[in-house]
Amino acid sequence: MSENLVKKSTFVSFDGAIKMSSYHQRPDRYRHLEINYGKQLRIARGGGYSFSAASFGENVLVQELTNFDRFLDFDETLKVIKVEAGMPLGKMLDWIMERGLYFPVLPGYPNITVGGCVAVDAHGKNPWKDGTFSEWVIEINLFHPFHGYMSLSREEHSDEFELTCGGFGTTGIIVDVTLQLVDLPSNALEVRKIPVRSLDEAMRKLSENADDSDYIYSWHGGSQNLKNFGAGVIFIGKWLQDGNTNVDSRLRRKVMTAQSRTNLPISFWNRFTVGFANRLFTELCTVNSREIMGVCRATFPFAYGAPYHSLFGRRGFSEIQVLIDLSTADIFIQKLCHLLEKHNPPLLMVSMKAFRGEQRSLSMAGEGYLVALNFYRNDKLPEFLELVDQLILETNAQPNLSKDSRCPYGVASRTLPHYSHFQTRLHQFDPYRLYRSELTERLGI
Amino acid sequence: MYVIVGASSGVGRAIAEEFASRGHDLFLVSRELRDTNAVACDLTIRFGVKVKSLELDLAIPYLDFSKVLQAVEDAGKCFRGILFPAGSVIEDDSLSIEVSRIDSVFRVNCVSICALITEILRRAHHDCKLSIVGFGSIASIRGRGANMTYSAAKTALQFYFESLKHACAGRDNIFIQYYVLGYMDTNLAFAYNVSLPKGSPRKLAKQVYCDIQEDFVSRFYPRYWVIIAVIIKLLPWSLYKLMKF
Repeated sequence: MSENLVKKSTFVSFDGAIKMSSYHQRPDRYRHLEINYGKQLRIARGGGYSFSAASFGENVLVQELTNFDRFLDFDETLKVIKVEAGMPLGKMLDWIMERGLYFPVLPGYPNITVGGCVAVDAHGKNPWKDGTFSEWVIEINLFHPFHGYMSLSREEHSDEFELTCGGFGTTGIIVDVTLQLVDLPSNALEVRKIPVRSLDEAMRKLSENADDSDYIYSWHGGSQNLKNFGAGVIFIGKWLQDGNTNVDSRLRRKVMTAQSRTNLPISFWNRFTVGFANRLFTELCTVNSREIMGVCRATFPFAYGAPYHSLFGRRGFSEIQVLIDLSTADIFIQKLCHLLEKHNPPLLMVSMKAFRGEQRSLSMAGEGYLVALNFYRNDKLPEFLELVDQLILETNAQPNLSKDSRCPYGVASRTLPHYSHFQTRLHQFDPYRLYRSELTERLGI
Repeated sequence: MYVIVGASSGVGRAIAEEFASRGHDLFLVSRELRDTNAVACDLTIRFGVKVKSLELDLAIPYLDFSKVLQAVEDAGKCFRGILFPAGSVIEDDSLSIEVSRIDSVFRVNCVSICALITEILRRAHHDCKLSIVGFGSIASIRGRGANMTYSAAKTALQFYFESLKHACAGRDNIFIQYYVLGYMDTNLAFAYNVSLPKGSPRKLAKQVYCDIQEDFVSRFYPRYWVIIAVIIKLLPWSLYKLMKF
């Protein structure tokens, strides 16, 4: 690296599993994006909130886009906004809410960037109703050294548009993004917390309510008492109908990063604390079964609630999130319960959402249930996760690559419906495969 | 209305954001219009102020400042001041520097700034409050083998600002200020793993705004550099020449 804008930095995946030292550039001018680094491998980085190592890799130049966080255009009539890729969701939400507007697909941390959401095709609180992030993208301005700047949309360069949405940054640097906004119905949501006895019951309730809820997911404690396993709560939120209410809807700005998440040297979680925390959480949900939540708190729960992810400490956590097809959901859940019963892994909680997505890249596609399993790490966990991989293959479930930092090539390539097609098209677009990360290397992209 | 020269990134961008957030119209000058336009769009959208941008490369000899001066004239009594967070460092700014580059380093970091200030003062309304703010570097505390031309230019600029303050001493409506900047969290220092904490451009911008009509000759930012500067200046040459930095 001859350019003096580059240094060596250490990056860690948000789940704490992967740590690497790599070249690091933080461009703050357009010409910095265009510096000729020859065939040096590179990848763009936003807030660094991907659980997997999607924004860094061995000997890869990380181009951190946090300085590209400007508003470029706004059409109030069409409710369309153009922002740079490094725009944090919280900053954008703060501004658009002041104008009575909202963006429907927002993942849990406010410092996640718009470019990052496009790259992983993130989902929000009700992907069944709102779809995924890319469905709200009108246009992307992409930079690739061999192609220059390209304007991508469903009408223009539609193939590259599809590759970029959920392409994990492999097509180049997403420079700016034009998004479709919607009216903000009110400044708060009414969230009901409905107890469920099993994962099956939760799936039924998710199906029944997903069409007309604005916010819906289930939570189930990772209880080691298998008699009660699956008992949990469904959170069903709807915009408060009678105008604005007196709740704090301001954005909390200081939230953890992948680096600060690891501040706690040891994990708080063990068999005892998991059981206790799950019982406490269930009780709290029962006592407070209806809650009025400000928009920001409902949208970014991790920025407001207990420091859930930091309690995993330096060793980190592991999350598996899979999309299971409606037709195989029962079998998946049944076999999963069997595995949990037999192996007793360090499971902390399970969460489910109804999902619908139409991607043609590395993202999950189709209709079904998203099932997320959160584990704290112990020595037996890797072995158990291999069994979950087998289950994914058997039931043809689809892994969410941005959540699972160890998802192997064999699973991704055999289960993601557009994997091969994506790989072929990407190699046609960029035969040198300049934009790579640990994730793309692991998955053979 | 304030004119900010070097507003496309780093300290200049932070200052533009701070002043726009306080409701001031801006005229932004930088050598790359793409970046300045993006800053201008952002500030207009977020704060509803009028922001114009102009491409001007301070490295070019005998610059035509007419568009800046026209903006100042158009603003009339609304023209409140001009800030110069502009500057540029180059690689190999030591004895191995290409001779042709010495001239451009001096122009960007000193000569063009002095020329524009002279033109502005000729046209400014005598009865209006006017702030002229310069930004230097800790590189000019004492000469050293690295960044030779840059630190010489910044030293000259600091001297010019002191002279300017002396020249305007009787005019209560003119505020001449000069900030000596230590390591800042911008791209200039990004690649250097320095042991001292880097200053925040945003915090500096807030301070610049709050003190825009204060009367001082020069001020270090971050403030702890005052102590370091005193120590470095007091070091005897026999010791100083041995230092590697």
